[in-house]
Amino acid sequence: MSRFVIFFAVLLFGCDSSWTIDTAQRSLTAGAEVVQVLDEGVAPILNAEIDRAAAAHQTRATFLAALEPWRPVWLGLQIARAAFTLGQRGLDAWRAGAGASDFIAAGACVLHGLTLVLESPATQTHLLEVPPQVREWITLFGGLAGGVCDQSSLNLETE
Amino acid sequence: MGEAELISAGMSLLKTVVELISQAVAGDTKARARIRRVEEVLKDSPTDRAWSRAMDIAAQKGRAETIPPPAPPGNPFDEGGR
Repeated sequence: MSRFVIFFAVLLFGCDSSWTIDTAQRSLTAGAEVVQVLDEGVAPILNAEIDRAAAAHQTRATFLAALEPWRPVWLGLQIARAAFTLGQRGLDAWRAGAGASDFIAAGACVLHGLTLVLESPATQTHLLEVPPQVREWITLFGGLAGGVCDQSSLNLETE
Repeated sequence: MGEAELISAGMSLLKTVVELISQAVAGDTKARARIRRVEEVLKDSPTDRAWSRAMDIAAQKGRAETIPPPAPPGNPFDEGGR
């Protein structure tokens, strides 16, 4: 129960009206930089795994099965990237006089994408080991964000 | 103007130039940080390129599986009891 209280406190803090457009732009830019660095860091590890799987598996099915743990990492990063772009459009609309709702909605998709990356078995094995307590929080935040994120608005090709 | 005065004036000028350059750099960095947009930060996605490569390899493996095995040696017209 207390986790939900903290979650909504964080959410209210995030949606606080004292957030200016400049603060939002700086946060958006900083977040996008983190995702770009993460993307560039994951790629060489994924490429090595692809080469290893290609050599070890002769059939299409077993090759794809070997790479399956990486799918959420790839998908999560693409969701986060698309959500940041959507967030920029929401911020532009906010700047033009519309409300901040589109910007905030994109925030849920950023959280959803990053949760997919962090929860993935490939992340746990190859990138970083997330402690169980932190994983519980990620599952909680990610579950709520995943429910709020309208993935169709991101226009992603997920296959 | 003595040598000491010349050195002092030179040092003062150098200090002013360094200060001007650092102010310009700081101002530029600040301005860029303020106006930088997400599109400028998110360039291409190396992870997406890697995943596309994996899908290409999967497609190649799939094609290799569907190619029929080579026909046995011999003249097919000889079959049928001729």
